Amino acid sequence: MTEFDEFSSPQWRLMSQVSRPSRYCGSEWRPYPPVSWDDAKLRVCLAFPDVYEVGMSYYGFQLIGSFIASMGRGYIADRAYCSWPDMKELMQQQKIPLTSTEHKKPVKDFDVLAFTLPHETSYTNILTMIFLAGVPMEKFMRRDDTPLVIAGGYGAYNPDVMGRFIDVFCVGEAEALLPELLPLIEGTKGRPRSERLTEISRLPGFYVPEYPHDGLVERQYTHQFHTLHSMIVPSVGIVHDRAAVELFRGCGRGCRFCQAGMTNRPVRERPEPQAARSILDIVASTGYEEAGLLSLASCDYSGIETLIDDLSPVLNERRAKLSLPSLRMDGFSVGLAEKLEGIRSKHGGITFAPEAGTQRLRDVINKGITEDMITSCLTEIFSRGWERVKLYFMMGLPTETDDDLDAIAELSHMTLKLGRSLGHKRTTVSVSVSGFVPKPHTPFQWERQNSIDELREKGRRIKSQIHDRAVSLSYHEPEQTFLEGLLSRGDKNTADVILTAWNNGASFDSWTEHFSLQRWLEAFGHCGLDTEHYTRERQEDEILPWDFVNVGVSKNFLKHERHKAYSGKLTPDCRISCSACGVGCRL
Amino acid sequence: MRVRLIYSRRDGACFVPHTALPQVFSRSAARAGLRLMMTQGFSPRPKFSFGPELPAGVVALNEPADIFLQDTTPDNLPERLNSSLPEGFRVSGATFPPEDAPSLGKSCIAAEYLIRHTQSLSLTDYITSFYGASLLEMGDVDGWLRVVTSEPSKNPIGAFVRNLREKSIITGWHQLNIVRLRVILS
Repeated sequence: MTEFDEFSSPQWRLMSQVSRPSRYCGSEWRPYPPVSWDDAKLRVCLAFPDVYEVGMSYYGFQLIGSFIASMGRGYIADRAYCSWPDMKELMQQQKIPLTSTEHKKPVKDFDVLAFTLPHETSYTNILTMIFLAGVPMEKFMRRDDTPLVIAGGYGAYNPDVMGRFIDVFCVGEAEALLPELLPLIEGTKGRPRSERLTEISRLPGFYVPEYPHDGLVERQYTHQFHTLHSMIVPSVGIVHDRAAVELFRGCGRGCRFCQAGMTNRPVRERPEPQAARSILDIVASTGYEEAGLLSLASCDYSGIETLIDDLSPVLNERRAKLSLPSLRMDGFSVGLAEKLEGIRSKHGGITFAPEAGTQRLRDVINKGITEDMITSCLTEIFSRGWERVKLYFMMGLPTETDDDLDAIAELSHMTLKLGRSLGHKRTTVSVSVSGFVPKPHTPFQWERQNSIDELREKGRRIKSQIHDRAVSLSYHEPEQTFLEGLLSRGDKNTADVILTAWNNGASFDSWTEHFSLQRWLEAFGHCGLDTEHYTRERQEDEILPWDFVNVGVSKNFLKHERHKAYSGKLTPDCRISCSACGVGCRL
Repeated sequence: MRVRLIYSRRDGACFVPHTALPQVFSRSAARAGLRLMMTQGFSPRPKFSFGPELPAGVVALNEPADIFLQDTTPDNLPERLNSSLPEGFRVSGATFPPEDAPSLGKSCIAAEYLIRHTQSLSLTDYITSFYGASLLEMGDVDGWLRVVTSEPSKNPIGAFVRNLREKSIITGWHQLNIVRLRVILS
């Protein structure tokens, strides 16, 4: 009774010395019995390049973990997260490697180390994790028994940026890719790494930088996406601590800045009864109090009203509620929000994303909302009792002028005035403005990105025009936006910059307290690269570093959309009228 | 209906912060199909009462917690909860305090700990001087110091550890192993 194993574990010792040890403790409720480590046919470690509370909020790993289990082949899908700098330092000092959350096994003992590339400012964390795992950073140093380092997610649509460190990029959706990839990896265990990688490179949808093949890497997707009936529930608070259900994939709206909208086509809806069943199962089995309806624009789901009406009474009984992550600016969406939240939660405020201040610029980006829609939507929310409104905008969009920026302040004041005139003396408007980053595979992939100074000047300009304390303005650090842009449209050479910056201490670049632009500028300088080269406008006949990846939408469509943007012409939602984007779903 | 649970926290669960316990137990209860009484007020939440707070990294073998069920208690309550609690948490018993019993907070009169220094430094004198009259019992057990203190919420073990740090006797939590064997209830 006086021996306690936990005290002799190296992890315990580490956790006793770091900030927020709960993020490493791995206490979770899991909906499945553990797969025995020794009996597993294949061991996959899903690796998220940020801390536990961020990574555990990511729906993708819940989905992929459950999907791998559902393959029924005796595979382990465990997880690992990035260690915070204090933990990293201790692990280095004490030579303790990165371990997985569930089996507490060294990450290096897995067959596959599978990263997601959620955003560019997480790339240095991938290097941290590879390093802490004890996997050689340079691919030629990796041996036959070193885990295969694979990566998927948005970053895989411009893979060369991280190509120096990743063995295999998975381009597209897990349900379409993993049933091909994992059995192949299982079946080739023990064979030379180079042979295995060559075989993988022949599969559609995979890009192996060492073994490139002629022709495009085609994004793979599915019409049969995996349905969750339960989820892993962490014991400690995470960023999005709720059940989640994906109503549909893709988005037909065609906002011209939006990478997710362009790279997830076609729109594929989950049948309403299946979505309803999934939500009820997850809420009952996890005990979650809230279920988020995830999608790129959940209000567009054709069965949304039926779904809410079907579920509300059952969920009320369980004291659980539904939530929508984003709302369209129209009366219909406001009605939905009211149904979901009820009067009680109106204190929480309501969020919209007009994205641009003037109608002209909203047409340029194909936002698809008019001045009238905005006014009537705002009137609607104030009449229904909300008094706190949050508005999201972007600055640095193509064709933007001072008038467009000034209109952000005007729209914000108009919102305040409207709220007050409808009887809410305590109306507050929070305005959030972020810098626009041109992303690969979007109509704006050729655009010049604003410099830090330009964005800062624009932020100041908007701020100087806000003269009511009930309107608050916040804008995203232009330095981080700048880096995001450099890496997002980067190329093979960018990998060297990332390694240099990491060697000089860069990590957690999406965390303001850790980010240092100076470190990155030095790294670009050290590698003899000009940042201007990456933020400049690209020529339309130029070969872009990501051209060899075909996400579905054609380059011609993207060009055409860019030209329409310049003339302020709208493209309708593709669910209403096909714009022949190249995905070919109507063929 | 009030139910007094006795539960343990082992391994990683010892690092789950005290403030996260209500959510851990409310979700576990929901998974087990138990309906909890809610607090009154603007944002009702399940009603709970937990034993005195433990700092992160203390193994706990017999911690009390009061939960309040809407319905009558099922016979197999510990088993049902155990199949729905997260890794590291385990309920070992459930009792039913009488209607007029004082609250859990008022019932926790003492706590029993095992403490040792990882490099076998003797802690006897430090404990004696830190706890003074609040130290009820102390003795050696298998290389551990067994300590019983009164009123654990007023005499938290975390304060003792902080005191050792301030005196530079230890540099951090990793130099101590602490187990709370039980909270003694009136």
